[in-house]
Amino acid sequence: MKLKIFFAGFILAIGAAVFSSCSKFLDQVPDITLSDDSIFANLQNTQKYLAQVYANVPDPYANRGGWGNDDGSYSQLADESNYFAEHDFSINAFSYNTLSASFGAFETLWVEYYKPVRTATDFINKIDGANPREVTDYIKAHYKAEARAMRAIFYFWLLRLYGPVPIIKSPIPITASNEQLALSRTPFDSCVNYIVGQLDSAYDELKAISTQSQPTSLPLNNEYGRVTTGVCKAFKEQVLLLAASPLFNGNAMYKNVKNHDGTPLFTQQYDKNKWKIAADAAKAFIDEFVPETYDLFTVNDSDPYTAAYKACRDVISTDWNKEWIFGKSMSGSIGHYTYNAIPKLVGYGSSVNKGGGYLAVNQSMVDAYFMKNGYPIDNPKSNYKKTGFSNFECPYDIKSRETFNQWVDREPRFYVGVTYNNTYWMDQGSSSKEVVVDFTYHGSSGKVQSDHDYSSTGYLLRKNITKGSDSRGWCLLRLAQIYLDYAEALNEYDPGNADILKYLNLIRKRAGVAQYGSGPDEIAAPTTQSGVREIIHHERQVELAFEQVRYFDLRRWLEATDALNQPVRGMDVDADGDAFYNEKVIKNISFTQRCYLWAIPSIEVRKDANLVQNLGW
Amino acid sequence: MKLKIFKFKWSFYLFIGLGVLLTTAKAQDTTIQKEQISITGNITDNLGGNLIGVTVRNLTSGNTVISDAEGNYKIQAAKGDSLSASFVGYEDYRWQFSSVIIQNINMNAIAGGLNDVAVVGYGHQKKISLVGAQSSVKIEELKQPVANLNTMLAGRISGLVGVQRSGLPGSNSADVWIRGISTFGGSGSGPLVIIDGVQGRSLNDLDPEDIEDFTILKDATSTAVYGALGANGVIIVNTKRGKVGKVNLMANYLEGITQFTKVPEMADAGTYMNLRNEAAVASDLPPFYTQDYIDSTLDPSANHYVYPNVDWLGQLFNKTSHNRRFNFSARGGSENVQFYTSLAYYEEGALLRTDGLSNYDAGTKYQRYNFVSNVNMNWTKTTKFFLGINGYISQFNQPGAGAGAAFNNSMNISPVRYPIMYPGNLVSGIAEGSTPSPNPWADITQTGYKETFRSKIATTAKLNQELDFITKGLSANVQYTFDTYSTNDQNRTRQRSVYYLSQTKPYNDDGSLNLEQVISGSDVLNYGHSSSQDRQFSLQGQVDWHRTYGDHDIQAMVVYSQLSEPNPTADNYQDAIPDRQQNYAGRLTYGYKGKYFAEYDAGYTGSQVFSPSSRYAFFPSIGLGWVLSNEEFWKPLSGVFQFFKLRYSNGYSGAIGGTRFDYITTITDNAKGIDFGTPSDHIHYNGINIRHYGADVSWAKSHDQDVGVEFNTLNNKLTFVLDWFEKRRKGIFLNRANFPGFAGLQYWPDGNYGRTLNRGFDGTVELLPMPLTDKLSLSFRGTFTYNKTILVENSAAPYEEPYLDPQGQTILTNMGYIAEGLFQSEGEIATHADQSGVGGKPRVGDIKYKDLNGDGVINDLDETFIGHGDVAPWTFGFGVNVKYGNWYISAFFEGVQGADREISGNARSPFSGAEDNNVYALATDRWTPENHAENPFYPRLAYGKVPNANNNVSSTWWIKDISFIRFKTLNFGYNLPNKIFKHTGFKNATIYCDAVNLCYWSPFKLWDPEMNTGNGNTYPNTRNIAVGFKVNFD
Repeated sequence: MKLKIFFAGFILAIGAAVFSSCSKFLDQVPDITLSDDSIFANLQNTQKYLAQVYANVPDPYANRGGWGNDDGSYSQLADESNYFAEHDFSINAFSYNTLSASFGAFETLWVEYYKPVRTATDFINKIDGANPREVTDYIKAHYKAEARAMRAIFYFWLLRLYGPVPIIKSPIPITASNEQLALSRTPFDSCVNYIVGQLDSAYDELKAISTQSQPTSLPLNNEYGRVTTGVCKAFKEQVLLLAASPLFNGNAMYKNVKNHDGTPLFTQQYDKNKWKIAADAAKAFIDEFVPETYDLFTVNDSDPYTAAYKACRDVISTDWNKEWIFGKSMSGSIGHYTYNAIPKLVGYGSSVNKGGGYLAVNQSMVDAYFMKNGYPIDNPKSNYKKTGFSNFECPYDIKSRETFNQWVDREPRFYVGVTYNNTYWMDQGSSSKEVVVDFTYHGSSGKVQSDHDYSSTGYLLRKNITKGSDSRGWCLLRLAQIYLDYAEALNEYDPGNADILKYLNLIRKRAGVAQYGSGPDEIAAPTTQSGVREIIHHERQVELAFEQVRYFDLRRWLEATDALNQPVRGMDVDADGDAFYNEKVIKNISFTQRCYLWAIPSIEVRKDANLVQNLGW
Repeated sequence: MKLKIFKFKWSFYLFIGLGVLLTTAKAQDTTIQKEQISITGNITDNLGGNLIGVTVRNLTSGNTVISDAEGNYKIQAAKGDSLSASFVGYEDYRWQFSSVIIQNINMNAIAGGLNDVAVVGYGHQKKISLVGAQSSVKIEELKQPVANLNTMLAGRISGLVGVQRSGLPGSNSADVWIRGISTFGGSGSGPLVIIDGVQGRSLNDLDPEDIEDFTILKDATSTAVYGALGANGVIIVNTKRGKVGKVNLMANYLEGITQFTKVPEMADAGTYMNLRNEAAVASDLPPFYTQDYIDSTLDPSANHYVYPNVDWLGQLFNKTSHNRRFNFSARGGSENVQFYTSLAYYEEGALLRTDGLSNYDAGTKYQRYNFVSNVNMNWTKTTKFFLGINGYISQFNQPGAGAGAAFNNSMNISPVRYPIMYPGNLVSGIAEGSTPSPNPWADITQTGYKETFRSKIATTAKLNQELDFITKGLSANVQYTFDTYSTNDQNRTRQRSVYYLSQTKPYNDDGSLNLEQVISGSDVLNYGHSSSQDRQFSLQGQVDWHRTYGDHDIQAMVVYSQLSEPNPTADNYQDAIPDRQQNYAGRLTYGYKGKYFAEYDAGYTGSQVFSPSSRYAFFPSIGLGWVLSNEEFWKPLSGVFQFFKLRYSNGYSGAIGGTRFDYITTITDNAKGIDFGTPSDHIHYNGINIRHYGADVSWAKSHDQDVGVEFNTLNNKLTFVLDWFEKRRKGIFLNRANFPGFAGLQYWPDGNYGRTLNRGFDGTVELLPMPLTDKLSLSFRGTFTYNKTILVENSAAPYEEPYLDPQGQTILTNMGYIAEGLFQSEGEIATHADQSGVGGKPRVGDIKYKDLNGDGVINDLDETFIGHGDVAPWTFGFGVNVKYGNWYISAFFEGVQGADREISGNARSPFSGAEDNNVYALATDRWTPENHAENPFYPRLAYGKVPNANNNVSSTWWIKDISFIRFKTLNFGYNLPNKIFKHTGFKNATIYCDAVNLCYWSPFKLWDPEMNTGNGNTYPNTRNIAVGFKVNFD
């Protein structure tokens, strides 16, 4: 009897426990320190949120031939270098031009460049409310300007890839209805005005808090890679130059690209004044920041040729020298890039660092470099020999060796940019036999060494490759480019202006090649506007080779349909001995009018009926 | 609002009910009489329902009475009289009157008959009264010499689809689905498994001998009580319980051998070298092997350290391995205590060889010890207590490099690159960077060993109280379960030095082999370990009521259950919060005269995925049944169909998707971020990024309808159960992928967007044992299952072309090109659409693809949906049992139809992967410039990635039919005649032979078609043949 009462009581007790607890049984909630309210609660989180704005700054070192979230492998899209040996690299589909609007890179970068836009907008909207005990007014102003400038720069990167894009002024809520999401593209000129306006505001915000001890022309706390007043001005100039260029300045090709409501996305009127605005912006930058903040990088050496070689080699690999304006600091992926460009070097001991050896340089790029005397190879005065061999010691070699005549007596930048056959390798390790690069078929870095990792042209990219693979930064914008921008813009609206040759010659002088002029060792400059345009374009191709500039230049100038429809040429990597040096077509590539702008990812166009596609996609 | 009242009301009633208990207790008197006196009692079935019209007979006096409408009877008897109760569909009940004058009788239904008890969610029901679709399997069929029960299910139960994916001991379990896969995206598709009343326990934790019943619930009426957990179907398994009676001891021992069902046939050295040369030449490369080298390799007397020629699969694998099982159980009990206890041991070896040279054991072996202790106690006449404990410990030993990897590697290694070992027990191989190339022989003999220890204890305690004093037929129970599961790994592994013969100078000056060390390693075994633990607690309270009023049979049930899974080894705070869920459920059934049945079921489930305001969801369902054969008008037909029943069900069940706390926006503070500064002076800032956007998501709901027909013919010997079903699921968890990229979201927010439509039918045909002669009897059972699931809505943006739209396609289909044969001439390539975007310049002999949009270029816009997926729409099984005297034999076949698989990797592109891999022997069936074959297995062979690029993409060329029929089991045995044991105490004994996976027939030839692999490199399924001896004694 007692037992029974006990059992019944037991059931009751459990029942009571169940029903008193069950209403709250599910009410566990994770700690809210990880909720989005906590971001502006302290300085550390504020800094981290701003870091997220910067996180997707492109890092070409990370390039493996595909496209990651911060990739930028534009060099391989131009006529500079190629990954042809490895079919799997999606980047090759660009060259074949067989891709569709749903190609991965289109989808990746569209989204990855818009992510920081959203983060930056949210940051700008909320930073003033950050916890004042930790985040000072100075920091608020500085960070806000940084976020504002970065947002504009990401828009610039979108603009040069896709053309006009939707400008999103406030973060779209995740509960937005499909109608709220159906936004249209913003016309090109409005995009430019917005970006320039934002960069000006960021500049003004930084200027307003600049002090003697902490000038905002230098990065906050010397944290190179942050936005400064100079970065704002330099990118403003970049945007304006893009807007002045033939691709966007009255390009009739795009006259029918309109939003569904009839708004044209591209102004059809050519406006010469845009060149002036761009040139003025470049000049304003130079006047304000050179030489106090920025200057061309030079190296002292008793031999001027060697000095030039070292300056051109190190300007890119010496982090944040005075020539760097913007870059991505301390890439962890530098090993990827160097692996691609270091030869295979099979048979040398383990002390010699070996690479994949497939980031090949095109013959057209090899041919673009000037001769030591400053003339292009097709100039009769250049002393260029297309065939035969000479005993020649290049600037980094320890002795002279038999060298194909095409590679003899070229300008210093050639030896900075290209690894060619039978040349002394920079990393000898502790190898007992001399480490010499051999790209011939059976050579130590030849095609036979791998079924897919080999140089398709018999050359490898050398610029920015160093012996070590410790983390470094990648320079995304340097002063030389601003000089060349200035010369280019000036030539378009004020041909004959003395500044054109002045700034062009500053570049050539540093590179150790003869300057344009009438002096005894100088080369006569062309007399026509188009002639000068040509030498400016040529100088850019050589000076900024492999720096992710050429692809956009060819598009800006509307020259890509010529340059990128030429077959890719190189040495005959299927041959040994002298037969190797027979120039051969490696691949036919294609660039049609649609390629001047990337496709708006087809998935985006499908999602948003108001988002019109670019021409030809 | 309504729901809240519902929830409140029933908890209120339970309170009242339990409260009354405290104050009430009835004494039971028994009086002893010697004269002819009245015995009274109540007659119930196993479910506690009153049985009306039962004939109670005093066998001594011949007196007969019939039980009344309340199931009560009253009969005169004297002490010592024999009495019996009998009723159609039930086993007779006999007893002798001694002193008990209130004799309540519980009658057992004839097994398999209409009055038999069927398992349903949270309870039992009479089979005849079922209105939902469910099936069960005879446990005997699952007792096979295999480790994992779920490999035996496909084809045995209608509505169940299953595939065994691997045969590696310890991981050879099967994937099972009920009525196919109804969902897509990230949502789970597997059924809910309830073992001994609680979820979270695995079928493979049980030894088949310990199982009492096995049931699957297929439609909403049967699964609605599981609320949001039931949409993928439910499997209910109960372990054996004790029985009143003498203790029955059972011992069973079997010893078997295992073999691969199919070993992939790889090319021999000669074929390999010739094909590789052919591929190289076709790819503008010089041949790899000179004829001299080939001749030397194939010369048996050559030095094969210098000219290696290895059949790796043959080297690594024995022809057979073994398995072994031992069971011992005891079952019995008195009126007050019944028990079932068992011990089981199972052991299975892999077919991997060992060299026996090491002083440690690197053999691959799986061992498992199971135990069950189920005890029922009647604490009082109305209070029952059940304590069930079952569990296992298992141990898996394998080579340091892993047994699975050994199989993979032995398929993927060149037969001519290096020998298995060099003299002096030196490991052979080459180095790729700092990692050695695979040497599978060294992997299994030289890399040490790994041991995995697992253990699980599952405990169920249940207290049941009859509450007849409140109202007749009322009872309540409380169940508490606690399970713990742990895994511990110990690794003792090593990487020995690796040597490779100098290719330029194979011999030293003294004639010995010139071996160069390519990897420097160590002979010392390292030690590493890892462990993890899971546990779960559940609490369940239930009130049942069952009452028969005349022709009306009413049954009601309400239940509350909650489950909590703490994660003691979580590595972040959020995961450490116990995972919890809650379910309320109720059922009301009504039966009239055994003709009409109606049932209402509902579940009300709460989950932490959803915000507090929309945390619970309600899943109602209704079912109707009509037994036509009990109608008057059926009489003329009853000669043909002794039983005929129609049923229909319509209702909802749910599925949870998404992540826990889906409604909360969370951030991560260690996103990638940025570095600033120079190499000598830099700083890193982690980023803060949105980890998850809180979204107001809800449940996926499945709207199920089922029409079933059941009929018996041939005097109830031949039975049919056929079901047609339709499942419309909506609100499947998907990312909101139509959110435009310019919104800049880190991830797409979750949403309930997906919709599918799953239609099909399934059925069972069973011939109950038919005596053909006095010694010979025959029975048959066949099942079939068909389903097709269409993706109705995926909320994606419109597609460029209709053939790119997955909506309207079956959910498992893949994308790829349509192959139009092989290019037979350069001219054909020139006139065909440009395929360079697929993989460079196509060659003659390469696959030609269809230009679906006609733009002259083959790219991703020319892909479409190809193939049906690797889970078959058709599954069927049939088996025959023959008994002849003491002999029996039964055979079972299982098959699937309509599944296909896209082959990939080495199987698709023989020479495109690593520089050295082996190829299938079938690679000789390829296009060559000589044969210009139209439809060979392989297009023109090529060497390297680029030359293979055109062919090594998804296309219909590589879609292969993987339908099969498998001779799944064969069992025969001999029941030793009882007279042999007359004096030993044995009750009966059986000598038997059980065989599993004897053989199969399939159009697919490369590997066992059931395995989940695109290139065949999964440890194959095994054929198990065992002989055993089983004895029962009292």
